[in-house]
Amino acid sequence: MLPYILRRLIHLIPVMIGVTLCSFLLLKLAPGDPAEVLAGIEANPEVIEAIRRKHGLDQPLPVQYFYYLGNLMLGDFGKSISTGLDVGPMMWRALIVTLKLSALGLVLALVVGIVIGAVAAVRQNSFFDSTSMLFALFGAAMPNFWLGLLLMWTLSVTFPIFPAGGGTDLYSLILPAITLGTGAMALIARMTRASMLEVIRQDYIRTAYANGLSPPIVIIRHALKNAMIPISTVIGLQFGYLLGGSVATEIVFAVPGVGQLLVDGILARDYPVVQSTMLMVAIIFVLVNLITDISYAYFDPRIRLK
Amino acid sequence: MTDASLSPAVRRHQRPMSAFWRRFSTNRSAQIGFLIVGVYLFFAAFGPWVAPYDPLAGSLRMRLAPPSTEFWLGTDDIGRDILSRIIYGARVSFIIMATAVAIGLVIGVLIGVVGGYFGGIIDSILMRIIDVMLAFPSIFLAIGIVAALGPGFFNVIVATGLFSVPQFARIARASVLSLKEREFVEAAHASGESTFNIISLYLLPNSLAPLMVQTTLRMSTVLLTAAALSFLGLGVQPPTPEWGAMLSNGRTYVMIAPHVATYPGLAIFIVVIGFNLLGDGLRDTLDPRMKQ
Repeated sequence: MLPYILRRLIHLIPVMIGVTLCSFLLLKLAPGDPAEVLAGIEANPEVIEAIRRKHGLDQPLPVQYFYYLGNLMLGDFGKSISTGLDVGPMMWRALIVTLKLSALGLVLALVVGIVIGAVAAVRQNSFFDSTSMLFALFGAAMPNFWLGLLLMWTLSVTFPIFPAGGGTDLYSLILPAITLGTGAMALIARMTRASMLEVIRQDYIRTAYANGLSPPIVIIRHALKNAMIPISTVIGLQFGYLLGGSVATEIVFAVPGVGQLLVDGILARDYPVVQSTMLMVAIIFVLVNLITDISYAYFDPRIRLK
Repeated sequence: MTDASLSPAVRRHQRPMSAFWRRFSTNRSAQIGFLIVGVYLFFAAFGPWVAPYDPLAGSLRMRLAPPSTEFWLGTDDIGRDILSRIIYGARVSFIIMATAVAIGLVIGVLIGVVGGYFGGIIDSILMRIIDVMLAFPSIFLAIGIVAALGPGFFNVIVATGLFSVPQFARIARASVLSLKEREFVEAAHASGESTFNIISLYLLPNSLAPLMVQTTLRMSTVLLTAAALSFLGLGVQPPTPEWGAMLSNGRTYVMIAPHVATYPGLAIFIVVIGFNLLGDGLRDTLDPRMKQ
């Protein structure tokens, strides 16, 4: 197990260098001289020159990149151009909201998706099966910003059951989580169904029935547990998919998360914010994938040898 | 065994196209997907001749009018006919989709084939680049590219195109890796075929099936991503009749005139279903083993 983890960690080094390089270059590609931006509109050339020297902007690019890495290690993400505040705290606050929303969406997608998929498989070709697979088809094709607006229109405007947005408490996050989770739910339902259909035809399931176990026990403890293996491999990927979907969802429901921060940052050309947010999202996604892979290798020893 | 029992199998072997067509045309999802995509392509091609009104000209007197016999899907905040804007929007989204997928396909296949065929250090470097791209989850990669280039029609194409490179690269590479060990490729080597010929005459044609499936499915991903970018204000800018941008505009009026946001969303939804069904159908008919 340890060699596998080490191998995966070494594999991570070039990816991390690449990701930080991309985020560094994003600021360099951005139009405008950062020293002039930091100095303000009315600053004279001497002040701009002093700021340039202070921030190391007069150094060659590779040197600047190492400065950038050094600052990141110290937890210094720079200052926002539009507010003048440190990017770090802004980003952490937004990140916590987004992670909460994504986690809620993922739990919803997993629970509902697995139940629908499993029931559809057990009752293959029934009315429930065909309806739920139609739902899965629709769920995967629905633009989440559209679904969000429809939900908002029906469940907070026409029938005011849920708040139309802005909140970060659990109740306010229900509609955003449904909006966010539906696509993943559809995929998980389809995968669970396919996986269950394969498992319930296995000999050991017939043996379990022959031993006189009740159908719920066979289905849940023997079939579903084995059918979950392929699902567990895509959880990391689905989490990334949810992080991506959270951008539009947050905009629709005015949730103050990373997506909101990122889009506002791009529209205001606040590049330090954009740069750090992109970097943080990538790091989190890479780490989540690492954890998924390691836990998968833990449960399935064959993976470690590949 | 008689001749009669043998001939159908032999005939099927001789004409792969007709066998493909027979399976494809009896596949339910392929049929529905084909129909939806066909209708969509019709509007993308002939939209300007079919649309009842000018998509850019509105009359303020008719603003936010609900659906009626005059304006089938109602009008938007400056009185423009929503149906006409959706019909014109078919062409806008098709241009984005087709160009972006073509960019992704060409660059991705190039990376995948070169990496998979030559292996070694070239492959390692190319795959690390792909890994870095994949480190930005789903739409974040496209958003990052737009952040660097700025919003706009052309930049959305570049962003969604590059965003599609990793998927094509991985499929092409996996396909080449499995093909290059096969006997017919080794035979081509032994008979002195050039590298270029081996790639273009032996490897690429045999990778076509998974690439075709991915191309179709990628269409819907790109459509959704480009619409999302426009919805966020980072993509195609108003007044261009782009579905995501229309939806974003309609968002403001969701309380008083929900039809402004509903129909552009419905258009995206239906076209995405069309491409997804077509892709599923293609996958089932081209390579049943890929079926999950």
